[in-house]
Amino acid sequence: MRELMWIALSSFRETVRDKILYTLLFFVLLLFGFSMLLGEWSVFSQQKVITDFSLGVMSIGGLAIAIFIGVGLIQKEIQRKTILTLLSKPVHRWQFLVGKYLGLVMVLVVNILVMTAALWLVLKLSGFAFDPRLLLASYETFWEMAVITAVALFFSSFSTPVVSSLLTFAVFLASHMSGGILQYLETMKKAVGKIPGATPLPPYVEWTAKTVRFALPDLEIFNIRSVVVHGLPLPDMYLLWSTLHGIGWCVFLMALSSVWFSRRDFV
Amino acid sequence: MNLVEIRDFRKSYRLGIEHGMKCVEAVKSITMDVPEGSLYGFIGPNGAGKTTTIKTLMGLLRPTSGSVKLMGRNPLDPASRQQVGFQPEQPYFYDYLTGLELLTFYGRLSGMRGQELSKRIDEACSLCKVEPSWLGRRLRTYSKGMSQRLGLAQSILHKPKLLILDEPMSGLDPMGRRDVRMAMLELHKAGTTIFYSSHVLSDVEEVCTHAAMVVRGTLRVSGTLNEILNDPADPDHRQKLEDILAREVELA
Repeated sequence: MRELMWIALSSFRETVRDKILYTLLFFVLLLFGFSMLLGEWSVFSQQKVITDFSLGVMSIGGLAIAIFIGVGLIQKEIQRKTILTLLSKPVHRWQFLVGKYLGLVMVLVVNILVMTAALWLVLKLSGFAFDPRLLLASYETFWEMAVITAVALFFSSFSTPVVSSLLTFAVFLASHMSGGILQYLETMKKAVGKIPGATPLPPYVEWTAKTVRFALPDLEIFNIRSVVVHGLPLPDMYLLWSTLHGIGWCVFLMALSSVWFSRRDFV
Repeated sequence: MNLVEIRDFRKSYRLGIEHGMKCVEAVKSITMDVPEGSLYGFIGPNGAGKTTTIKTLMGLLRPTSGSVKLMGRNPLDPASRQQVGFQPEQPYFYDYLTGLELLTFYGRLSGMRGQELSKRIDEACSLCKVEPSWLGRRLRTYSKGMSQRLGLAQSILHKPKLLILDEPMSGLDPMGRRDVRMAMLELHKAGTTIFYSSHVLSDVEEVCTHAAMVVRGTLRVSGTLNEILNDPADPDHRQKLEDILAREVELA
């Protein structure tokens, strides 16, 4: 387990010194500042607009970090051949992979803390109080980032950076939208039943939507923005279930990545 | 005792879609042993299969057929690398780490901690002529020669029984080459078995106890240097490795 910790710490150190992280963080913070303007222009409650927009930016920022850093994390090691020296040490390949992932998760924690602090600052500058429930939204965003980073690492364990980035983005979109699509199909099915002569959708459409829904992590589970922004109650045990969902997918994806990775040749 | 045992080793790669998924045989047949205490030169022209063999020994590639054993174990088992040091050809390191951070990281992965690790970093750096002033610098500022020396230092941190070096002198100036050669001789004198690939045949002739010659993926010659260099037809005549290699390339 110590090897895992050393690899994670080194990966964390390497990533926090990478300029790309600061570039991404800079844009995220810039958009936070933009939310203040958006709040002023909006006809809705300024506080709600700022928090809703900023939490959305946090989620997109997480996706950008997963794609730009997560995908490159392993690929860079392979392309720059640093992996040859590291894997010549008495470490298992899965320890290398999981260690790199944990290092990036540590970076995500720091990022979430910085972004949450920036949100607090933006709200304070706009004259609003920081609702402690925003911390819950940040917590859920962390899990969303952790899962999407695991997805990025999984794809990068066997494909090129470009393909991995595209697939990660596709998973992000599909897993956010699949729940909504299923609901839409359900509504369509009911509507078709009530309209005489209307042709029902072919069964494979629903089957495909259900497969996508259950084969991919449900990232919507981590989206509690509207609940927090509008002050709605969270169901009992929601945080526990969403955390277990996040942990489960991270463990599953890392196990799958490790299997792929252990079979790879490093030419 | 043999620290490396290779039997009927063959390795082929499948090229990408852009090359029509063609199969390329990098190594056709290699059978050889590296005995404990030897300083073993692994020579051959470019593309002969030296790096493929070394990477397979380090568990970075899987053999297509045959068997490869490192310290009596399967190289894919991390325990086989516990007492092995390795420096790849043209070592690359993490840009944003300093030399000291890198050595500390690799030393920890090899099981060293605290005072023992600091002491070993000093010893390895002194042997490989890594100047203390370099250690605080980020690795992206290192020249090729500095990286090569640091690469050698990281490979001997944990006092390995077996040291495997892939072209350790490539890219070094004459002084650098001499320093690496001296370091290898010193390590060998201290009991480390060294297996290294090289294009510099005069170095191999000068320092090695054993050598193996691989041409187009096939082992052509192997044994002690005396066995290889002594001409069986004329015991008084000592051949040059360069001539032997030229002859084997022609025959292959």
